[in-house]
Amino acid sequence: MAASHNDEELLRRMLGGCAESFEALYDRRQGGVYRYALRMTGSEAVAEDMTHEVFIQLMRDGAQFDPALGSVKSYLYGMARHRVLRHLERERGHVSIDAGQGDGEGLTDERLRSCEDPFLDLERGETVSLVRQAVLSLPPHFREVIVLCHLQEMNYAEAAEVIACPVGTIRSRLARARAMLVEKLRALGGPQVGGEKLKAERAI
Amino acid sequence: MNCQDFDTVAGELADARLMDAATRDAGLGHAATCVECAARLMHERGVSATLRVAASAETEEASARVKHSLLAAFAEQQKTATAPATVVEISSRRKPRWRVALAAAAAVVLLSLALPSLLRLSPDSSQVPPPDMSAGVQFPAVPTPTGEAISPSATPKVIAPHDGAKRDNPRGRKHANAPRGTASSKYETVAQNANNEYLPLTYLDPSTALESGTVVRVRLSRSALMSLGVPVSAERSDDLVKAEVVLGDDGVARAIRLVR
Repeated sequence: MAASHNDEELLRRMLGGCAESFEALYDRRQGGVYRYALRMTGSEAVAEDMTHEVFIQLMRDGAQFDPALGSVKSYLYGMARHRVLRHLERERGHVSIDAGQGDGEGLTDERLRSCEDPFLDLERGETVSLVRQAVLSLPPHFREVIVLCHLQEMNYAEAAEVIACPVGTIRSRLARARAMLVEKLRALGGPQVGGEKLKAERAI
Repeated sequence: MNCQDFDTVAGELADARLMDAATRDAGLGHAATCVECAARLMHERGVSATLRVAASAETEEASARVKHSLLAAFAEQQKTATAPATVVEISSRRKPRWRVALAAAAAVVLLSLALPSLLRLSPDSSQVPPPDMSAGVQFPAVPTPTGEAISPSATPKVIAPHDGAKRDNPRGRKHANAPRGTASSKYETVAQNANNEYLPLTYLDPSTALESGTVVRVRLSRSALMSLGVPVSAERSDDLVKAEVVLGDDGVARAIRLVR
């Protein structure tokens, strides 16, 4: 029943004391919040803690939500983002990428060169793992646009709401982030496509 | 569109995101004529495809433990949120009239029970001669609820409560050092009750004298009135007599007079 309501209605009911609405809103939004925190921090434990904190804050401060400023989804991501950035600030310098570790070990130049586009030929699991490692190695501001616009499949406007910046900033930041991601993937064992440097590097 | 412009839209073209149709057409047109940008577009499509694969694997969720914890926290919050509401509701009922009624009830109980008992238990009471009905007694001035002090009569005729030996200070405590008998004294003589003026019931320093209060009309037995020093007939001591009691904001009865 509650699941048929939109986020705002669920929030309104939740603030009125409806546990069912709170549960429905949590079920709908916890995955995205959790994955966002997970991709940004690389830690399941931290992501769980942040998800918990975000919804606790929603209980406490949900009345402050202003639909004129964005959606409930953006509101939740914004709260998660605040925590993520604080966490990254504390952990600055601790996150690093280890090219010789994990699923990237099975990636050979021969396999990557066997197709015109190296990414398409990767095993799905390897691809996912490599991308996650590469994303985690990006600077936070570029990492988050990749996470939001690609992994969370938000459009630019939604991402702009979460990050609280203009859509143009998202667009330009994303272009740079993609170029940086390619470089990170290469650092994990990826090839020089066609033996030449990617034009994308010009954007970096 | 030139190669530099193409760079800015290559990602969006590869993602097939919603974009301005003219820009998209211009970008695709440029890629069709520029080998380098065509390769770039192909590369970007590869990046987008890879990211889509990664996005499709985004299925993780927070554990059930988090949900249970949050639901418990929500239930707890609702419980605690309800409690203050009850308190507010109760406090909102505490209107001045209610407080006054409660204070009046308390005062009546005090007047009819506690004070007579105390007076009877006074160690001097058994040795005290009958009250000198003609003697004046010094009492502290008692302002009326409106702030005006009850003006004493020029000729004190009020009866001392019981203790003729302690007429100056019926309780022998509070104003032992108080000046006596002067009109300018802070402690004035209370008028005879026959004038239907208030009889002070407390003997406080003027600095703590009544500033505001409430007059409550009550019915008291004659015996209770007598024990307070109010001159009433001892006959039919169980009969109820109307009286007005001045209550301070603290609920303590400060003065009393009979109602005719």
